[in-house]
Amino acid sequence: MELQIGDSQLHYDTTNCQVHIAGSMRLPNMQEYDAITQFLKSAAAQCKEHLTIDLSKLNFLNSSGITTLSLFIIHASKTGKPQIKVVGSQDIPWHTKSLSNFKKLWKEVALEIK
Amino acid sequence: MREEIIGDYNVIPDSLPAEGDVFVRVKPIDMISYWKRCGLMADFTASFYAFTREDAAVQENIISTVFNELIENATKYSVKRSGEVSVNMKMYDTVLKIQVENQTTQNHFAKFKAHIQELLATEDLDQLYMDILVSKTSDTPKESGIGLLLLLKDYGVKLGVKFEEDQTKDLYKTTIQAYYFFEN
Repeated sequence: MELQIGDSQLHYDTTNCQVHIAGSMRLPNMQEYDAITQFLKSAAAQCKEHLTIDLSKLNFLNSSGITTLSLFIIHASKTGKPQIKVVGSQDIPWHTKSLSNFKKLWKEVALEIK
Repeated sequence: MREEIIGDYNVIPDSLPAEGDVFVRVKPIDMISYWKRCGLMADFTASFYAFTREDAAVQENIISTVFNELIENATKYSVKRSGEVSVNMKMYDTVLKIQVENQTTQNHFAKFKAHIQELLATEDLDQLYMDILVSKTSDTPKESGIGLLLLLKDYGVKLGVKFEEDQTKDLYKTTIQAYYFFEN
């Protein structure tokens, strides 16, 4: 499953339940982010146990985007599934500064900054 | 004109000579028509100041992120056609001062002031972050976003806002100052 939106690319690998998001994602509002939410929900529907969201090539994500990912995590936390792992990069400042916030929303979120 | 200042405003006064001074003025309608322009401006101003730094790529990413949040907010909530968004970026050795001025609606003016008051009064930004996001999944979602909150919480940015209003002229102006401190 693929999605190109603005300057970002989403790829869902069904074989290992990994969603890769790359590029720069700065959409104007939450409505525009609905496509991302739907993409993630669709992936989660296929990977009911574990889902990895790999952001290690996502250079920018604005606050509406962070809100979108946060709401997806809160949604998953309510049922406890799928378990979510978020992958970031040590080289991208917003990853080292803000990705740990996801664990505050749901402590079961696994975080890997590589 | 009634004026109110909240937070760290004029921490560095304009009278202090800056080592770099960039001023840009745009029409919100131009940004809304092509949203990518917010990011383009953020990337340009970030590289303008960051390239001289040792950790240029890191600083460029941070400044672009900070700037982008400010310009997106100012653009979204401006009086769309007649208004202007003015951005002034000044460099002072290890501090970057970003000032964004816009005119907004009376409705947003009041909401934004309440948001800033809450943001700058809270002692636990992590808790506020969680409260805002969790509320968005409830029947009574908070309208405020998390953009400025993240700048305070995760980037150590200091914020101050000047609110100016003249109801007889239907004028509601906000001037936000963000101070980013380069990490050594």
